Amino acid sequence: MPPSRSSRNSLQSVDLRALDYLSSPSANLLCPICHSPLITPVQTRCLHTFCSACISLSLERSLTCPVDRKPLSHDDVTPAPIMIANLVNDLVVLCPNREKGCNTSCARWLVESHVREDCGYAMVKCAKEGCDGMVERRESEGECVHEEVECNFCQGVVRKLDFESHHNECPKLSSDCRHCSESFPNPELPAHQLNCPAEVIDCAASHFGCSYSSRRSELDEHLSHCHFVALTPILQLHTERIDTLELENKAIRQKLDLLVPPRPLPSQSSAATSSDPTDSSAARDMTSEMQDYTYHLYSEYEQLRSDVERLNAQIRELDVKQDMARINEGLRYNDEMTGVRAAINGLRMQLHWLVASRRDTVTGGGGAGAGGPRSVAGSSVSGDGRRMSDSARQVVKL
Amino acid sequence: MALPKRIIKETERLVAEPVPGIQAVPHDDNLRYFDVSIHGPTQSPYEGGVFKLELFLPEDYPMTPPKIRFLTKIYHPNIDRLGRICLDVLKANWSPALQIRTILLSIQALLGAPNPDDPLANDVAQRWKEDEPGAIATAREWTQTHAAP
Repeated sequence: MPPSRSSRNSLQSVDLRALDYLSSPSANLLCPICHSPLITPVQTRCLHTFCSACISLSLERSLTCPVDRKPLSHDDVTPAPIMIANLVNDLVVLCPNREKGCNTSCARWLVESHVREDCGYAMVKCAKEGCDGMVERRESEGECVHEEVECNFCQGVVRKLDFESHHNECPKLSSDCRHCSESFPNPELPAHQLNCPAEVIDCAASHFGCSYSSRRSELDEHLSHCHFVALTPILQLHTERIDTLELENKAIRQKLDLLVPPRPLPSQSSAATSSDPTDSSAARDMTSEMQDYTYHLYSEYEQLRSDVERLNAQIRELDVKQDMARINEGLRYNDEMTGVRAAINGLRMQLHWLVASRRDTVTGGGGAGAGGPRSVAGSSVSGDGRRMSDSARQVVKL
Repeated sequence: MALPKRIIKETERLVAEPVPGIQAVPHDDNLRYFDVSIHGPTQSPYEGGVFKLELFLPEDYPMTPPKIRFLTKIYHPNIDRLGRICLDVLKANWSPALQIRTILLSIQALLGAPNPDDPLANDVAQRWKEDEPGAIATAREWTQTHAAP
C-alpha cells in the first residue's frame, strides 16, 4: 500500500535568505541589513524598509534607524505596503536543491511548497515500514536503500546506500596502478601510487633547468651525477639573494621617485614619441634611464646658461662704472688745465711788463727814467699789484 | 555555522568591483577573516604607502561592527601603537546598514583627515597640535620606513 501523501512531505526547511535568484533583483528591493531581497518587509517611521527579522535584531542593539540613525522604537515599525511584499514574493528563485540536480525555478512564495511536496531531490522519510532512514523523494518509490547487504568480495555487511563507495575501500577488490600496471588491493592503491617506482618523474633540479626525467627507480643514478643537483644549494642561495635584492631595489626606486618627481620636459616628450609602445619592458627601462640622463643634462645646461647671464650682467655693470670714472677723471684734468692756462697767462703778462719797463729804461733819461717806471710801478702796484703778486707766487709754486 | 549570504555577497562584490586604493581578500580557511591593504590617500603624509590591516567579521556581524586593526606601523593621532583605530562608526555609531566597503573607505578618509581632538595615541595627538609640520614629517618618514609597498 503506497504511503499517504502527507507522510511523504519533506521536513527540509527552506532558508529564504540563502536562496539564489534567477536574475539579480533590483537594489531597491534589498534589505539594507541582510542585503537579500526583503523577507516580510516592514517600514519604519522614517520610511525606510527592512526585513522584519533584521530590524528587530538591530533594535535590540540600538534604538536608532540603521540608515539615518534617527531614534526608533519597536512601535515605530509597521508592515510595509502590500505592494512591496508582493514585488519581493514574486521574484523567481532557484530550488535550494539545485546542487543535487533539481532544475526547478519558481516564484519565491511557492518555493517552500515546492520543496515540501514536489521536489524530487528533497529528503523524505523512507517508504519502507519500520525504516527510519531518509531518502531523496525521487528514489523513495524503489526498494529501501537502508537495507543491509553483503559485499560479494569481502563478505562484509554494507548498506545499499553506501555500496558504491564501499567498492573503493573493499580490501578484497583490486585495481591496476596507472604507472606499473601491477594490481593492488583498493585500500593500498593510493599509498602505492605516491611511491610507484615506474612513475616517470622530473629531476629534482628541474626548476633550475635540468630537463631530465625518468622512472622513479632510475632517477637516483641520474641525481648522483646531475650538475644541476650538485649546484642546487648555491643556486638556491643565489635565487634567495636575487629575491632580496629585487625587493631592496624596488624600495630604493620608490624612494628615488619620491625624491626626484618626474617632470614633463621637452626632451622627455621627444624621447617618448620616439619609443615604440610595443617595446619590451627592458626597452622601456632604457628609455626611462635615457630620460633621467637627458633630464640631468638639461638641468646642467640650464645652470650654465644662468651663470653666463649673470656674468654678462656683471660685465655691463663694470663697463658703466669705468665710463663714469673716466668722465670724472677728464673733468678733473680739464679744471687743472684751465688753472695752468691762467698761470701761464699771468706769467706772460708779467714778462710783457718787464720787457716794456726795460725798453723804457733803455730809451728814456736816467732820473726821469728811473722816476717814470717807479711811478708806473706804483700805479700798477695799486691797480694790478695783487694779480702780480698772485702770479709771482704761482711761479714760485711751479 | 554556514556563512551568511550577506558576507558572501559583500566578499564577491569586494573582489569583483574593488574600491580604488583598497584591497580586501578573505582567508581561504576562514572566510570571516580578511587581509586588507589600503593605499595612503594622495595629498596626505601617508601618500605612497600601502598599509596592511586585518579585518574580522564577528559571529553576529552585521549587528556588531567588524573588528579592524592596522598591522603596519603608522604615525596617526587616531591609531595607537597596537594598530587599534579610534573611529566612531567602528564603535557607538556602527549601523548594520554599513558594510566592509564603507568602513574601509572611512578608514582611508581618516588617513586623509587626522583628528587630534579625538585622540587614541595621546603623544601623537599632542605633537600634532603643537607642531603640525613636524608631526606630518614624522608621519611621512614612518610611511617610507614601514609602509613601503
